[in-house]
Amino acid sequence: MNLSHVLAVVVVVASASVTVTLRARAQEDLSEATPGRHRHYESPQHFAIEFRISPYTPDVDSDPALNGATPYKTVFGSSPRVLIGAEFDWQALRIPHFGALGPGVSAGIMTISDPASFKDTSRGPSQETTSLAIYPFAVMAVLRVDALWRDAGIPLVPYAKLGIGYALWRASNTLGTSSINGVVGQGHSVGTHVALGLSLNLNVFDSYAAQNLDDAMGVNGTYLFAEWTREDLTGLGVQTDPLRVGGTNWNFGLAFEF
Amino acid sequence: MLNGPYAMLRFARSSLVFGSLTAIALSSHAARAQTTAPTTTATATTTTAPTVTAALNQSQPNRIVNGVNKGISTRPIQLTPNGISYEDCISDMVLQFPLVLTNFTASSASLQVWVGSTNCAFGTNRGVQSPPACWLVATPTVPIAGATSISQSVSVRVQDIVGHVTSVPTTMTYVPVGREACSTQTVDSAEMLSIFFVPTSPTGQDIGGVTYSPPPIVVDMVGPSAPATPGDHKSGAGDTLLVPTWTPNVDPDTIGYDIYIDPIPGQEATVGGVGSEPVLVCPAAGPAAVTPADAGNGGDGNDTGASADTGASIDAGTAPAPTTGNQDACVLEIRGTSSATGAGGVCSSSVLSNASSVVFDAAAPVTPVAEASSDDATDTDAELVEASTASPGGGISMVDPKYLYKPDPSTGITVGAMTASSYNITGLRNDVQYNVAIAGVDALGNVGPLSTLECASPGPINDFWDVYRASGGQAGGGFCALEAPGAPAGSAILFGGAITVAAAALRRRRRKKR
Repeated sequence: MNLSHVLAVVVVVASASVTVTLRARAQEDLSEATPGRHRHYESPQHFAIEFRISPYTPDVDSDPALNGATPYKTVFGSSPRVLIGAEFDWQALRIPHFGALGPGVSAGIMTISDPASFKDTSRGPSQETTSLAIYPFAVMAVLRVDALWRDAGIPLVPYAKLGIGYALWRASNTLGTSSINGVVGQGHSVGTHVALGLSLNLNVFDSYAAQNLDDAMGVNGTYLFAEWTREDLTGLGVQTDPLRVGGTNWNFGLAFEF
Repeated sequence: MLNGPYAMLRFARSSLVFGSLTAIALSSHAARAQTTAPTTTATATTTTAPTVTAALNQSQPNRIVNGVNKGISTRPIQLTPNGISYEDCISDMVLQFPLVLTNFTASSASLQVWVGSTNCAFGTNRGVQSPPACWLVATPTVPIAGATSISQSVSVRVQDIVGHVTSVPTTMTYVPVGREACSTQTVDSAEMLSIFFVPTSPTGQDIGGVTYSPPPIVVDMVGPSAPATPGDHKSGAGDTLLVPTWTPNVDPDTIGYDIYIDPIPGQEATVGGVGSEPVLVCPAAGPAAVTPADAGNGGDGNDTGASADTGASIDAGTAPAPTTGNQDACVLEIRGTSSATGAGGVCSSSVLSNASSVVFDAAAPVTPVAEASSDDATDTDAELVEASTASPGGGISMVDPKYLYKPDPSTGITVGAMTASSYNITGLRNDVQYNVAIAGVDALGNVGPLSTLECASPGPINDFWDVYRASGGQAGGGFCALEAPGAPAGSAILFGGAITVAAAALRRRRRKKR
C-alpha cells in the first residue's frame, strides 16, 4: 500500500464521518439524550478517552536492511516491555442503532533500558546502560458499534480504528543520545495504525453509581477494553528504512465516554 | 592660633590621629596581633568604662591569608562560610575583627583577646586567682582616644585560636602556636569556641569594662570518615566512562564526596597517547625530577612534592640535559602524569594513598545525634557541632587537588550529596586503567581520608545504536531528519495533514452549531 492509497483511505473515512456526523448531530442535539434501554436520563455524549497499557515488542528486527540481523533482540532480548498510552476520541457521528464514528488521537511512551555489554565479550556487561525510548502517536478514524449496549442491553461494544501511526524514538546510553559516525540515534517513523477491540461496559454492574457519575461528571459510560493493535511503521512510502518501532500488541485499559 | 570652633575641631581631630598613630608605631607587636590605622568617629559616649563593640556594618571577621584580605569567607558559596577548617589553619589565616573602641585611656585600659569554650569575660577563667580556662591570643595596641569612639580592626591568628583547645596554658601570657596546631584535633567532633575582646588593666586585671564577644566560631579540622567501596575493588566501567560506587557515608558530618582519579583524564601515561608529552627519563643519578610543567615555566606553584615520577626526568624540548650520571642511559619517553601502576585489575596509585598524608581520627565514636540526617551545607554552626559528633575514621586527605575530578564550582566538591553512592566519570580513554578513590567532605570543606582504591578500564560497548548501525540499519540522524534522501514527501507532513483534516472538521462543526 503506497502513500496515495493510505491518504485516500484516511481522507475518505474522516470526511465521511464528519459529513454524516454533522447531519446526524442536528437531530441528536434536539433530543440530547440518546435513547437507552437502561437509562432514565443521560447527559450528552460526544467524546471518549482511553488509558491503556500494553506489552510491546517493536518490530525493529523486521527491517530488511538488517539482512536478518536482530540488533533489538541481541541487545534487549525478546521479552516484551510495557507501553502506556492514552487516546482521545471525538464521537462526531452518531449512527442510530449502529454506533459512533469519529476521529481520534493517541499518544504513548515506552522505554527499554538494559546494561550494555562490552565489545570484548569476556568482560561481560558494562556499567553503562543502553536504552531505546519510543513515543508512538496515531491519528485515526474510530468506529464504535454500541448498538448492542444501547438497543439490546448487552454490555459489549466492539470497535475498530484505522489511521496513521507516527513515532518519535531515541537511542541512548549513559552518556546521552547514541551516535555513531555522526549519525545520532534519534528520529521518527511513520506508518499505518489499525486496531480492533472489544469494550465491556461497566455501567451494568452498578447502574446507580453509573447514573451518579453521569449526573456529577457527565460520564456516560465506563469501559474495560481489550484491543489488538497493529502499528506498521515501515515508512508508508515516504521514508526509506525507518527504525521500525511499530509492532503488534494487545492493549488493555479503561475507557470513559462523556 | 586657633580661629573659631572649626579650626579647634580640626586641631582636635589631627591630634587624635597623630596620637593614635604614634602610639601604634611605638608599641610592640605583642602576640603578633596587628592593628590597622584607627579612624575616629568623633562620637561621644556617656559612660566612662572602656567599651568594645562590633563595627555596625560587619559582624564577621575578614580572613587574611598571606597578607591578602579574602573577605569574610574563603570557601565556595555553598559551604558554611564561617568557622575554622583545616585549610584555614594550615594556611596561617588571620581573622581580622572590625571593632569600635571607646573610653580607652593610657592609664586605665588595654585590650586583650581571649579564646575559650567558656566565658572569658570573667577574670577567673582567664587565670586571675585560678587556673585559666581560656587562653590569650592577642594583645593588640589600642589607640588612646579618651571618650572618642575609634574604629579599629584587631587581628588574631587562627593557629593561636585552635592551638590550645586540648592544653590550655597555665599562665596568662600569650603562647604562640605554629602549624602543629592544625593537627591537634583527634576526633571528628567540632569544637565551639568563643572569642572575647576584654578591656583590662595593663596587668590583665578586670577593670569593669564592656567586653565584646562575636558569635561563637566552630572549629572542625577533621574531615569525614572514608566511605566504604566494593570489596572487589572494581569500579563500574563503560565506553570512556567509569562509574565508581561506594556506600553512602554514615558520618553525618558529610555533605558530599570528592572523587580523585589517577591518571588524570587527558594525561594518561600511554606511549603516543593523547595528552602525553615527551620526557627524557634518566637513571637516578641524573638531576632531580622535573616535570614538563616545571621545566617549561618554572613550576606553577601547584606542585606538592607528591609527584609520581619515579625517575629523574626533564622536558626533552626545553630543559638542559642532565649533568651527572650516565646520560647515555637516558631515554626519550612519551608519558603523561600518571602515577598509576596497577594493571589487569590490580589497583595501585602512589598518589591516591592515605600514607603520610592523613590525620586519622582514632577515637571511638561519640554519641550519635538525632539531627544528623539533616546536616547539609546550610547548617548553622551550632548544628554543625552536633552533627560532627560522629563516627571514627575521620581525618584530612592531602592529595594533590589536581587529581580531583571536576569539582562543582559552587561547592568545590565533586559530588554534592551525602546520600550519593555512585558517580559517572566521563571523558576517559578506553583500555586505560584508572584508579579512583572517594573521600567524604564536610560543610567546612575538610576532605576526609580516602577510601580504598577502585579501578577499572573503560572499554567500547555494544549499545543498541552501535549494534543496529553495524547490522546495516539506516535510520537515524535526528528528529529533524524527516526522511532519507530522495524520499518523495515528508512523513511529518503526512501526519500533520491528517491532524489538519480532523481540526478542520471540528472547526466546521462548531461553525454550523452557531
